[in-house]
Amino acid sequence: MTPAAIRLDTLCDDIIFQVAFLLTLDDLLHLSMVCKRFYSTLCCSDVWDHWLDALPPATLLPYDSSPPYRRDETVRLAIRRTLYLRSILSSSPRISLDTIRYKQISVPAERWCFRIEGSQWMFNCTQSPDATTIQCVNLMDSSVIGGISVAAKLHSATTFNGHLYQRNKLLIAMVGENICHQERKLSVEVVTVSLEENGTQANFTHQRSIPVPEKLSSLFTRFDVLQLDKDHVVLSGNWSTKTFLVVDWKCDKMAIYRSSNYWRVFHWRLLDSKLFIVHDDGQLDIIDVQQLLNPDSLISPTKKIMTLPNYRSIRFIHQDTNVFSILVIAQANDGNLPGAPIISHFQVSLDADGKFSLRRGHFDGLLFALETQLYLGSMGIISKEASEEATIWSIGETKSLSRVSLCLPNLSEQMEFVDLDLQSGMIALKGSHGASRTPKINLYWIL
Amino acid sequence: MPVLLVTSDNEQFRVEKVVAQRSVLIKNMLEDVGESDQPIPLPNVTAPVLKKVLEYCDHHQTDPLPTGDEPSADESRKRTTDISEWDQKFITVDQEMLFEIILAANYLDIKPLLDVGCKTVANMIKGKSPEEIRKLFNIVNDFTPEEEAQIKKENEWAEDR
Repeated sequence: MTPAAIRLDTLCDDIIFQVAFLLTLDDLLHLSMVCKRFYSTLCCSDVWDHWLDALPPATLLPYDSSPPYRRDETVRLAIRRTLYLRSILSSSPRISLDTIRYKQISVPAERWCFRIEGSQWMFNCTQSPDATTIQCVNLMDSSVIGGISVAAKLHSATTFNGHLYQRNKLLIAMVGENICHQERKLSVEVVTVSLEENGTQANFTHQRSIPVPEKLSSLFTRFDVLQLDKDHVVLSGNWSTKTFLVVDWKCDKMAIYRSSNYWRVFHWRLLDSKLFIVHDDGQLDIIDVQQLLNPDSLISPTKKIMTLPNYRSIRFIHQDTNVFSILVIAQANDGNLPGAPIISHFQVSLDADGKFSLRRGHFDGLLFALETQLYLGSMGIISKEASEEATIWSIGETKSLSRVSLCLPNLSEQMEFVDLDLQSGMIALKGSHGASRTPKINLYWIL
Repeated sequence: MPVLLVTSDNEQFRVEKVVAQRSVLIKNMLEDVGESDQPIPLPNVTAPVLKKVLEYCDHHQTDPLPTGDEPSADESRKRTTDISEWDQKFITVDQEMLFEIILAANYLDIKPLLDVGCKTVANMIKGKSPEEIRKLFNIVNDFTPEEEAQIKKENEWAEDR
């Protein structure tokens, strides 16, 4: 054949894309391997997204060893990898915290209890034999801006939690414990906190002390975790009891929820009156707490949503009224890519008839990072890359992860991420450094 | 009323307006200048290529014009080989002419002809290895051996399927 003056590799990008869109995935891959021009042009194009969209969302289904399904899964992983390469090619260069404005605060680790998501407020507590003193700390300058003493001992550190229900209005709840005539009495203590506009003063009001009846508390060896929203406090037993105590603290109503189909609960979260429970095989159930508290309700409070196979870490985020985001880090079930974690994003919404619908969120992707060094935060992930270097992957409204590398002063091998809040622009790390070697939480507020 | 088209090699083609207007570029130019005897210069198209393009436009002069509601890329992909018998015969040309037709269709904005050209190229690529594609299209492999090994490694998953 006579060599052509105009060759395929000299045609403009638009024409190459048009041809690429007509190819099968195998042919597309082969074309991208022909020369550097095709590799770089096709790697940065959306012809791959196209294939990802054409495949069924794999993580919605249990893994199956049947050949057609396995093929889809392998292809999906490969496309994710390509999308990852694309995100690298189009990502912003590494930036140092030295070049952006940030504020660094250190808090002694023993003073760290919980931070209210989406805010700068942290609460901690100190105990005396018959009372618990709760304090509010402004994490922008680590100043204590108020406190209250509750006449009960804290049951356990994880049964103390808070919720921001309005701007500058917080709700704090804890499980209180009192020994009376050698008998242990448990109660749910609810405190409201109102913050001054300038953030220099927190006013506490002890709202309720709700005793937990003996017949209910006897179902639990101990309470494991407390979570709350505006109207409800939910307590879980330890993982094997699979039992939850749901409290409507304003009306003193209580209900028990027991998930008997599985032998343990791996993870749960209360958001906007919905209880998200992940069971041992990755089954995700959503329980409507209000229906659970209403014994006359004809609608079953439990909905099975999906299975999350091989998941390692999960984060539920309340996005809007009746809309929730689910971020999942799962382990790729594929021999070709051992150890590569997959991040999946789903959106669950509740319609007016009480039906949940699930759809894939904005991103499915493969992360080339050590799973042990990843931390799943609010709408983003942070991973430790090297000494003083971290990468933040934020999940926004686009299909690609937006990625930024940061140099974090004092980020050493030994430090671990304990918090990431992209909405508030906060990264928190725990570890020992400096001469004292006292464990500290280092907070970086990006201004 | 005929329209006069002038190619880059200064050859003149007198064609029926309905045929020339298969090109969105020419159609827009005619609309802009109104009724005129002025020749329309086509500096990016040579006479042999325009002759071929006009052959296509003449054959398809009664086809409905593209509306923008064309099938999605998904549907298009399924019809990779779906080229009509006449079009297939028309596009059976040497590679240089094929690419010239594609470039001309792109320049003159004749979407159906561009589709036929792209489908033909896609069909030529179909089922071929990177080396076979290079050989077919006379493309130089400009990857270093290390880069090639790296890309092969990246794409190992495809071999295992």
